[in-house]
Amino acid sequence: MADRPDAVTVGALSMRDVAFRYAGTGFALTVPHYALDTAEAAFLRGPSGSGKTTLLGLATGLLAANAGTIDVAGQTMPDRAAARDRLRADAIGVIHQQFNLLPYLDTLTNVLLPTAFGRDAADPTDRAVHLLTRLGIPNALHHAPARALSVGQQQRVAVARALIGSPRLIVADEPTSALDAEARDTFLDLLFERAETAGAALLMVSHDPAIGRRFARADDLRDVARIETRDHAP
Amino acid sequence: MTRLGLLARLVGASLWSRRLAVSLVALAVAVSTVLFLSVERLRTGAWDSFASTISGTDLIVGARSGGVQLMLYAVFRIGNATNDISWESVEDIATLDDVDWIVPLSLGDSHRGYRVVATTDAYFDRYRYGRDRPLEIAEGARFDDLFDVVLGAEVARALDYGIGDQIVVAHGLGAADLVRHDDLPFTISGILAGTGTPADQSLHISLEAMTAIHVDWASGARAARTTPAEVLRARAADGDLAPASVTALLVGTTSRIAVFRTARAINDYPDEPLLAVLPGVALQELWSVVGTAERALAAISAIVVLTAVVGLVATILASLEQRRQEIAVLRALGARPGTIAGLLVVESGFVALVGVLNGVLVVLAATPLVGAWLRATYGLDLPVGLSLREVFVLAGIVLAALLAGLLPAWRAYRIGRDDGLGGG
Repeated sequence: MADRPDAVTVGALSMRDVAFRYAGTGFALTVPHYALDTAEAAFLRGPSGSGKTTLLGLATGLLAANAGTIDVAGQTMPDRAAARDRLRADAIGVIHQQFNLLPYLDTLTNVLLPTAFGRDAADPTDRAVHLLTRLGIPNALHHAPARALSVGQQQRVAVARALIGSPRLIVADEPTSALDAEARDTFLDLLFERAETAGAALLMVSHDPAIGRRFARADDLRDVARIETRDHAP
Repeated sequence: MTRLGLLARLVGASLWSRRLAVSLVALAVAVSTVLFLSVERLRTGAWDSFASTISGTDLIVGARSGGVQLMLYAVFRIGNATNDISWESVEDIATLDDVDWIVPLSLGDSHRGYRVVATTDAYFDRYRYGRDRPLEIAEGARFDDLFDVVLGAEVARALDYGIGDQIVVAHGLGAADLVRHDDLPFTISGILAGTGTPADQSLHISLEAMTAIHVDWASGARAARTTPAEVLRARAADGDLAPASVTALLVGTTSRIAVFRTARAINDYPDEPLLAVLPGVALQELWSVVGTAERALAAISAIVVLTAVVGLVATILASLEQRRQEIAVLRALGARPGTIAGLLVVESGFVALVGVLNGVLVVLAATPLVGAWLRATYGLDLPVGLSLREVFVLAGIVLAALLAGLLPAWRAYRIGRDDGLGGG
């Protein structure tokens, strides 16, 4: 868990001695060590304000750590913001809690969108169609605007989009919060199956402990990351 | 799909989803473009018509009034002279050392709204317009008989006159032709080629003819018994119909240096208050009067362009708040803040371009329609195509929109940088 010396630069994600502090506010977060193996699925439980967003921001390169090392799929997270964005586009699939899709784009284009920011590859359209079909989105909906889809369908399209770049790591931030219990379980089954087929590690963060029971590995965010909040001195 | 194709589709779908607001902004830009182009074309058209109206003439001489007024009635045939120049003065000026040639002009009569210009044969030789272009007779010949008339191109075209047709000159000005010299009809001997100058809208007769049709007139009314045309022809042949006065003179000097000396001599002429002006100076002076309105218009259209650009930025900025999540999603997918900023700049540039192109289309479509009317009514020739200057101005509008798009782009950059993954 917090100390797995075998996972240093191999595996899907490795964070070692990572420190981050928001300039201006007193909020600071440190992660002594957290790692995910290749194709490992892990759950992080944390309520709002426990540093969830910050941790995911660091893991995906949206935020730059002040100290420490973060490796994703064997690549060290670069210092340059543009290179971090590029690594995210190439190696990480992201699933938000809601407003996942751009409502004005059709389903297929939504899935293809990450390829606009990643490395050049062969035309991914066939792959996107294939992914959508496997996720149970009928062909008739591929060219419908995303806003025409049900919430459950939207989340499945988001999974297809997270998988389009063949990422080594899928990061899901409260992806089931908009779903009822039944839809949530169906969605999780699908997500596990797809991540496994793709050989991608899955890191899911949620406040809902019920989800954690579905994972072989579940950690409490408070054990992984230390948070420091300091009120401003007047 | 290629990367650029995806980004283009992203911008396109995003714009399409906000098509009403975006169309209104494009419309505002189009209206600004139309306004700007219209002012620009009127301005250049006016100046071109203006500057090419008269050339080769060194001095224009009239009774003492303002240079602008003299220019207006002598060259543009707008308005009236307050006073005439007596024939004695004309002869004195003609014999000045530095004077090479003179062309007397006598105005005051009209034919169906077109001015009648009484002048001499020298008019056809000496009058120049544009880059020293002479008048050309398109059909027929100069006046030979006393009652011959040479029409400007526009007069012949508009009234559908041909060589040999007989016309009657009206006394005084105005389209109604209330009082007519119908006892002495003129025969059309020639039609001038089009020039784009007031000559197109003039009927040219000889000075003697002008005297002849007024022989029997006193105090603005015709005598009951009039002199027959044959008698008048005989008197003209005897040199008996020299005018008592003329309205204006075009003067050519022997050298450029002599122009100012001659102007001074005429302005100091002791027997009659006269005014000699340099056409270029008077044109500039007249232009500065007309130009005030033009500058005001240009200022207004500049403000409208500014308003459109501000509206464009305001619309993008306002939508940016609603698009925070959208930007966060794009960031999570690996889009750099710079890429998102670039998309917004392209977006505002595209909207401006569509607006400008639509504005240009409207102007190009309307120019031939309005142009014909302007030419007929004001003698203005509008340029048909786009001038390089206009292209620059339009490119400037799009460039301004691109630059203005940097502001929302910068906001988006900040949003993209400060927002993590949405929620949580």
